Amino acid sequence: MLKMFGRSLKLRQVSAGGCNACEADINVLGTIGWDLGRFGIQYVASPRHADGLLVTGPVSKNMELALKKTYDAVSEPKIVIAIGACAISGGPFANHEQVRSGVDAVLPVDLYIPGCPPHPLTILDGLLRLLNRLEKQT
Amino acid sequence: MNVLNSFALLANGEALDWNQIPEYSLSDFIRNVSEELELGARMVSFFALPEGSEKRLVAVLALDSSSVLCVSRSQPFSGSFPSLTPKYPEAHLFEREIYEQYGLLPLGHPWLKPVRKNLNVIQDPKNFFSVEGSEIHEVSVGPVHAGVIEPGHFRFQCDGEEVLHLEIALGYQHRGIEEALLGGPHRLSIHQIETIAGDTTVGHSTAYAQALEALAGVQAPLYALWVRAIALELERLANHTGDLGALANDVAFIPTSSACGKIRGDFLNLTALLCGNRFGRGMVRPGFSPIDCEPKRLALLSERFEQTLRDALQAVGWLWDSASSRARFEQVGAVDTPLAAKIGLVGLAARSCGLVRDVRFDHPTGWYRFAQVPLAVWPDGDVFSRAKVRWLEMQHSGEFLKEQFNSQPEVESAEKITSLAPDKLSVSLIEGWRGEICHVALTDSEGRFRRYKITDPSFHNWMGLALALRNQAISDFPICNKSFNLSYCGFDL
Repeated sequence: MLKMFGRSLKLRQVSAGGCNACEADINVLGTIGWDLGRFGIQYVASPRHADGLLVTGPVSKNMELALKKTYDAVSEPKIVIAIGACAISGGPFANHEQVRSGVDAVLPVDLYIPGCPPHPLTILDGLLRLLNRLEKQT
Repeated sequence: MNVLNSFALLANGEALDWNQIPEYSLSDFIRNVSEELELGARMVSFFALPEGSEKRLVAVLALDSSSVLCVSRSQPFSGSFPSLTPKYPEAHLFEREIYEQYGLLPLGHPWLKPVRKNLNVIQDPKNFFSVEGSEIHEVSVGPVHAGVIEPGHFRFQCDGEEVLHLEIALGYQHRGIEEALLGGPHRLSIHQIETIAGDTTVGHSTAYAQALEALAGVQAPLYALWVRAIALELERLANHTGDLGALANDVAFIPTSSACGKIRGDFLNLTALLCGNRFGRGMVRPGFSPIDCEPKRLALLSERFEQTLRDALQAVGWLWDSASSRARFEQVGAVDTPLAAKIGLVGLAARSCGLVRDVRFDHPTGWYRFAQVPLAVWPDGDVFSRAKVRWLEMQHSGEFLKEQFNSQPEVESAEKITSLAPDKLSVSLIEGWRGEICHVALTDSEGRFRRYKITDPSFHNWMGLALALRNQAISDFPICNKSFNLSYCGFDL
């Protein structure tokens, strides 16, 4: 499946209780400093155009339904990437009754990218690793 | 009788004994607060807390021109209280919040909806204001938006292209921060504070540090105050740069948009140079400075800052040189000065409406007592004005930082705060890049948090965006929205 996405991966981002730091460092990969497009990866506006979701935040219960609906709107096959400490485990909000303490409580997750927030390089490294596109060290 | 006698007075960043705060019957309390608001005081915080089986109201008002804050509280009661909102609209959201958090009913509130917890009620289409008429149509957007941004729900009532009314429903990001702080400070508390609004990490963590220092009776060393001011202005520069780039993008002026996207990151990297994290996590801790900016690092910071600032001012300069971009910003999304004052706007949104309102100027604490940043005010209240104030503030913060790099105080040893005084209330205001951040902390008899009330500037300002859209073309929503760039998670807590 990843081979299929290998040359063109379109991702839809959903913030589900994220504090806007993960979102900012996801966004920055699209700017001229990083130019994510050269790797064939692009953020798209509609889940219908996406091959997967980038989810940030501990998944607040108030966003749970919207997140599931967005996931359902992505056509198969699809992947889910959890970005940041909150999305992985709930982070500093783990076990609050208002959150689901991580994306995998709600959706199947294919890749976890750690950090609070992860540095843009960490996110890029995660994406390229998932696609098996990291260049071999010589 | 001088109304002020019915309030306890304190300065920003100070604490009071809980029993020093005058207590009035509910009706007298509400009367005193109204009289003070009538005389020009500004509502900074208004909240409830439990007292046995009953509840109590606490009001914190600001007298900006005399740099004084005043606090009063009601006697415990249950049931309802007369709403201040019909006469003083700046109270509207505070009263909705009191109703949602503690079930006290503000009698006479014109639009009593939940704020962030009860989402089923908040987003029920029945509970939105709707305009009737055969030509009217409704546009509903969110919570999931087209860009990489946080969730919120917007409902526009339109007549053709013209927006007659916009109602904004939030709450999607609610993570239960105020509840989690009860009984604290806990080990996780500082990390939750740092993520109230990720783009305002330094602002909120400084407000928290200042509130705790007041409760502990500790004076943070000058060195810590210097680091906080540097970090706060870097945060302002990063966000203002990003916002001006985003505004340029929305009017399809790509040079500024492209460059600012990168330069914003350069400012974030300067923050990382200080503390290792681009958003300033780990930068501010109560009582001391975890950061030691040794001479070599300071020299590097100063050198890279000058280059980054030059780049930023050049990139935004291109936007101002473009007459067609300027024209797109002018007379769009205007909020006039009286309306801005009435709804209690704060921060750059307020200053863009001609209101002279800046915590660094009105209620200076920390390093701002020794070094001043000039105030930036522009009168028109439109998108242009909000862009202009950002531009002026970038220049002011830039000059300020260049001077402060040469004024580094000696490193002093300082202790972590281990305990807080019992039964005290402290009020801590910080001018974050969006505006006034307010933290009010109250301790119980054991020095643990009995109530911790957080007010992000977005709490005051979302109404400003809604009103800015009145009679505007719906296609202007993006630039109006970017010109405010308010926080969803800072509001939702």
